Amino acid sequence: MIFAVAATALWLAAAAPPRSDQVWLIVAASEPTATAIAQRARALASTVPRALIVQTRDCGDKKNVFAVAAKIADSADDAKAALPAVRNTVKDAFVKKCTVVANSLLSLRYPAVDASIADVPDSAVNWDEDDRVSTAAPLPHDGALVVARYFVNQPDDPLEGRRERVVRPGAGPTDGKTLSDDCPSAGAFTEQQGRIAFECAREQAADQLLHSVVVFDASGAKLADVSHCRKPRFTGADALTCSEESVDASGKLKLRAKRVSLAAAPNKSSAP
Amino acid sequence: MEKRWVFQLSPEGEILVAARTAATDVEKASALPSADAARILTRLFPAGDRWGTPQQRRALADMADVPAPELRWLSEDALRTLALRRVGPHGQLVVVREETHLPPCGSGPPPTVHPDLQVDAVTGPAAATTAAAVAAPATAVARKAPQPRISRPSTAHKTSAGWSGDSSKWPQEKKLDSMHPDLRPKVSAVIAALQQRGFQAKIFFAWRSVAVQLEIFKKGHTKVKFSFHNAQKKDGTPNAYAADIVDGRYGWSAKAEAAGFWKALGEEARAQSLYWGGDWKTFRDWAHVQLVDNSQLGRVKKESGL
Repeated sequence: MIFAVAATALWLAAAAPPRSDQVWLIVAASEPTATAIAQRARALASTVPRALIVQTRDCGDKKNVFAVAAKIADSADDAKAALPAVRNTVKDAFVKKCTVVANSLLSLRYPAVDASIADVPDSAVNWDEDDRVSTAAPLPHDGALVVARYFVNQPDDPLEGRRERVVRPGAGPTDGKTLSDDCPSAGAFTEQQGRIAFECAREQAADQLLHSVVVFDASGAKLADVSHCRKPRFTGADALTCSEESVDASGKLKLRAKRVSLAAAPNKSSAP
Repeated sequence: MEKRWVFQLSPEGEILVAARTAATDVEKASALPSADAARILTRLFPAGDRWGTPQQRRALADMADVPAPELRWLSEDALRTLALRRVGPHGQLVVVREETHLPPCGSGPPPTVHPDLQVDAVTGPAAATTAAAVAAPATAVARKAPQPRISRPSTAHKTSAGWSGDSSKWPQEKKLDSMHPDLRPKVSAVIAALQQRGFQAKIFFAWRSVAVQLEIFKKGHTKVKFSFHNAQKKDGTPNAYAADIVDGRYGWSAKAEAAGFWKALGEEARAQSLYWGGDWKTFRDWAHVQLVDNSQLGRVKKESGL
């Protein structure tokens, strides 16, 4: 019990600190698409260092636009003071007042679009706008994880270089703890006493995706990686269940409950 | 006991073979050792050449144990590879079956050895029995190889009734017909080779429409909205660049891996210069084979008029 409380405390301490709901964005560029903003951010990288790509959806806007925020100020005065310096290099920079949506990427100070998205080839077939934009995944009790979507240049890749990274955010964009660097269709996030579990799509089988369930402790160390399982649920201090997947020769998916012990050997799954 | 082999060329260039169980004592006595048989086979069907007669092709299909419906899709090199593998050290005995039988060794006129059947650097019984086989009358009829394992061809689906319905439930022949012409022989060869290895290999599906693919995508059951399975000609006729192959007993269950099916599929796919989804580290597709590498997807989509 003491361990559980301590772990929870560690988790909360490691998670992103509370942010002011009201901020002022000094916008150096804005674009309607993720690719365009990634390319603008790259072009501005030398003149507007430490900029953050944000999306106005995270300010509660109904119509989403991407922006390169040269600075995020906590007050109007700070923004007003910082604007001239940005305008030295970006003449049409402006200030946007923003009421930050809770558990959004902006609240976590995490970029909405990864820099690598600028490199996605125009000829890519299966890249959608959603594949280019990172998301925050709220956890059941508190906090959120980040699913950062990015591109790797591997010409023979079956997913055309589409990748998803699952990050537990920290105090700043570079302070997060990467839980998984490659987790296609990351989802089914759950958390209990600092432990986190989620699923990644790992295989195609007929018309079904097969998943792995990965489990991490409060420090971000991997506790288990369970192949062919989906939808993890913590069922106790040291146990988890998921739905074991099997696809027969007719392509039919069969699911059955599987119990995984987290008490014994780390990094290994335990059969029921 | 060492397995031995017999080959014979008729005057028309026909090569006659029969099942092992049908071999007579004379035929068995005049058979060749495996290594010599394989060497002769290599010489008779040189890689990269076209062999000429349909009879040669049929004979080789018998040796390779390839069912007739699959034969039309197999390239000559693929057929040759399969035959060589079967006639190899671990294959079955293949012997000439003749209506008049071979004369006993030492009887009849002195044998003359057809140049294609000469055994390099082999002396003694093997060379003598080869010569005896060539000297025998060439009026034989080749016995059939084991029964076809893919249903008889049907062309009904090529009419306007078309390519509708669940493509995973189509007959095997229709699945083959839904493939790109260059993919068909390779998939046929992979299936034949897997069947020879004792697996119940079958095509789960090859082509499916973009509309069906989108339905599956919307359900979150695939990562792609367009795949090599969706390739078509510009008039909409299926032209799949990919096929999913499973063992009918296992599907994608853990038994498939335990039985070594995925490993065998990968080996046979590579032998046909196909790209195998089990080789993809980031996202496996164990049953999937495709004709070209993934960087070609854009080109194939454009070629499909999509």
